[in-house]
Amino acid sequence: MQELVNGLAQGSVYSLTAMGLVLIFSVVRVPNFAHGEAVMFGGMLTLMSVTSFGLPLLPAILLGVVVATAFGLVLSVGVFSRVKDKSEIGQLMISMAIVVIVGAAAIQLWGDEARTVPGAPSMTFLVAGAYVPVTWAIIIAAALLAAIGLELFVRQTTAGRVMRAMSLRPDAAKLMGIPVDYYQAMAFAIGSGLAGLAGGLYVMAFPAQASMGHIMSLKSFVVIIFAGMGSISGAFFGGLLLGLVESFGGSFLSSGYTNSFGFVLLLAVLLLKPNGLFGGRSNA
Amino acid sequence: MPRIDWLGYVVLVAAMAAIYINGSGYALTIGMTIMIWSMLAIGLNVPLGLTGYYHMGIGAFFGLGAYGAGFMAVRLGQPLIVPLLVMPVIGAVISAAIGPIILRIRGLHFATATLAIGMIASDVMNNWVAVTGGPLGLAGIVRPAPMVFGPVTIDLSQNSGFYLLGCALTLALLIWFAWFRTTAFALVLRGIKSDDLQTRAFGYSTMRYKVGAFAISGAIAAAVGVYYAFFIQYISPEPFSFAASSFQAFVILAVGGIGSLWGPVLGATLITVLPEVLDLQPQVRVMTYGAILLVVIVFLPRGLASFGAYLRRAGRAPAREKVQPAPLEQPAK
Repeated sequence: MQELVNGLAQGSVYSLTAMGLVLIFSVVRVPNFAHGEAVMFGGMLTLMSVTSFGLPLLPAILLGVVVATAFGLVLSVGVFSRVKDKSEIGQLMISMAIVVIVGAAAIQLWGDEARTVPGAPSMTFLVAGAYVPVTWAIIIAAALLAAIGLELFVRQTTAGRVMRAMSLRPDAAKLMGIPVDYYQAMAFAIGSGLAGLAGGLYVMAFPAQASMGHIMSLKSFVVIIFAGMGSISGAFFGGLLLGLVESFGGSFLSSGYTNSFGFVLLLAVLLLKPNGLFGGRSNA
Repeated sequence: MPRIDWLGYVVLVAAMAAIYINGSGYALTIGMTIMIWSMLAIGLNVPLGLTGYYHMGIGAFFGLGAYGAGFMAVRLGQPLIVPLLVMPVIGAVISAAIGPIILRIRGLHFATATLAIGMIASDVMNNWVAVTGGPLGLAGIVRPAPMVFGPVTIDLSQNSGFYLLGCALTLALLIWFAWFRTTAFALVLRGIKSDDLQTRAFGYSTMRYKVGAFAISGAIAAAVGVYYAFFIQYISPEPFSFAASSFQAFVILAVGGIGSLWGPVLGATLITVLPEVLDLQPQVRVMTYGAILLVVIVFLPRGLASFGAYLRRAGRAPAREKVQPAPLEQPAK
């Protein structure tokens, strides 16, 4: 039971991050491996605002989200919109270069110890034999709300419909007179903002560190691949599944291999269903 | 038979000889580091350069070779030659086993799957303490005794002798790759790179070729790992992490020129020598790699190896550059 709660809390962070990545990946179609750096910014800025500037927790998280959003905008406008003519491998190399530059700069700036933000609410509930810290409940609720919100956004609003059109047929969307650059930047901003929120919530309950970016990127790519590309609900449930697999694997098999369980799951899914668990169409 | 690029080999052998004659421990160490990265990048070149699969987990096979060598040397007391022959086979077998699973996907998906393999390998290195020594690693890998060939003695226990072994391996691998990329096998790999479906339509079962390419790179990386383990004589998980191995090999190949023959050597030289010359802090060094990568992608997308061609083209009459290829004739309606 405890494992279930652990997995859901951890998995909610993955869900938030992966949903942001799905939005970016389907609308802008760039391999944004720097996505995890937005999580890192969210986490580290929340941490720094509380410890160094004495901000209360909520504004600190908001600041983290704002900075992560700004980071996404910079990536979109400053980098990826300028390298559209590059090959896929060129774009992959560019995003890798950004990952190492930003990651190394963050370690230089903040050091690399793993820390949790002080002063987060420390209440704990006992639900059906499992200890549930209130921060975990907040994370799970936030991820659920964000998933519903994002799903409503892409279904009900004009911007969301435009983004779905762009993800289905980028060229046709352009021919319809959609200002694609504007909406790509918007997708990048929203996606990175979600990642920043994931980081801010993460640091409330789990220790965060400056070098966490690339592993978060990798895990969100794992999630959107085994969940099947291009579906927000797929990314949400995929993230939870990854959290649960890590949590159950970590406590019943071996805690040292926590990260590996998700990757083994990915390989298993690729073996059995190359299009992803929830994906029907070919995406390889 | 394609033209053999004698100039490249002459320059390379001259550079190798110059380092050997210099003979200082520092020069030899730099030389061996460059050769290790060159060979690893050549191994990466087979799936990435020829076949177009973004292999981001070569560090796993590099580590496999190094740990296999460490285990055989420290725990089983085997000499260098045993892991050097056995580990490439194991590397190829493991690649051939994983290959059919992950080679069903390509592009970014394949990159992620191979990244995941690298992460699993890191976890195993840190946690399988009985074999790998965990985070503490394996110490006490002893280099072999001097070998006597008539009047010539090669003392592999010394850096100078071990350096010569590296030169031999590097040259052999370069010549092999120069030959390999002209073979029919490599031609099919290029076909897969440009159009997998089309190549299948020509009657090649592309999966076999892809698994072959993946296994070759696994074998090369494992062999390089063995050499590395005996070079450094102490192995721990850190050098096989993503940033320190797979990513660096990728940067070297990308900077040198993906798919080219001399790119791996040029890239390895630049990436190894530059931080030494500039004497950078570790984090600044990583940032420098990123910056070099960005500069190369923007200004020299086909890598340092294309620099010669770039200069030649620039030296010729610029007007000819602007001539567009003649449009294809329209079929008669």
